[in-house]
Amino acid sequence: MTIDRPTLTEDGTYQGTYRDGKVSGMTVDMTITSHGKLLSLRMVAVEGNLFVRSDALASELHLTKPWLLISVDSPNPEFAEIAMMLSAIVDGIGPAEHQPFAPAILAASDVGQDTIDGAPAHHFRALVDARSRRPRST
Amino acid sequence: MPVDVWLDELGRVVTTTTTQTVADQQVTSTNHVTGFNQPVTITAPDPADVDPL
Repeated sequence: MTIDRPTLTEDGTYQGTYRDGKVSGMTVDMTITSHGKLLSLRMVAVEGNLFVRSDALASELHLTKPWLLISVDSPNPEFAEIAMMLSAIVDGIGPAEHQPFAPAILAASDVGQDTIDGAPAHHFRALVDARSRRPRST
Repeated sequence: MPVDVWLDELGRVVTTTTTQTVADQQVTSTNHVTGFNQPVTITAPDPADVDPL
């Protein structure tokens, strides 16, 4: 995954396992460059827990151990809020989460045949209403 | 928001790109899948190495 903005670049590698279309475990290795500063980050989500490892973060928070457990049960409300936010992101990654967004596609076109990593691929382009809200699950 | 999607011959999404404007900056996000159904080992860190906050 790569996200580019003029003052911020994020680049990362993701590995995940899915069960019933939802993430059951994942690792993310990410580097974030902002205004010339580089931040390396590793995240592991497994068994409902999210762990983060970052030397810069450990230094900032004066941690004594390399890994940080980001838990919704944290007594620190800021970390509990971060945990809830990250959990929501992880819950939204699996293929089962894509289908509800189908109504947000306003138009789609068939661009044509292409090649990705030397293998044949077909290129489609869609215009998606980014303001469309995801339906609430019942 | 334009979204470009590339599917392989099995209909699997191999690459997506999105471009949107956030706070007057153009943000391009690219996701590139390099493997399907490959063995993955994901383990939690040793509890002795975890700082619970």
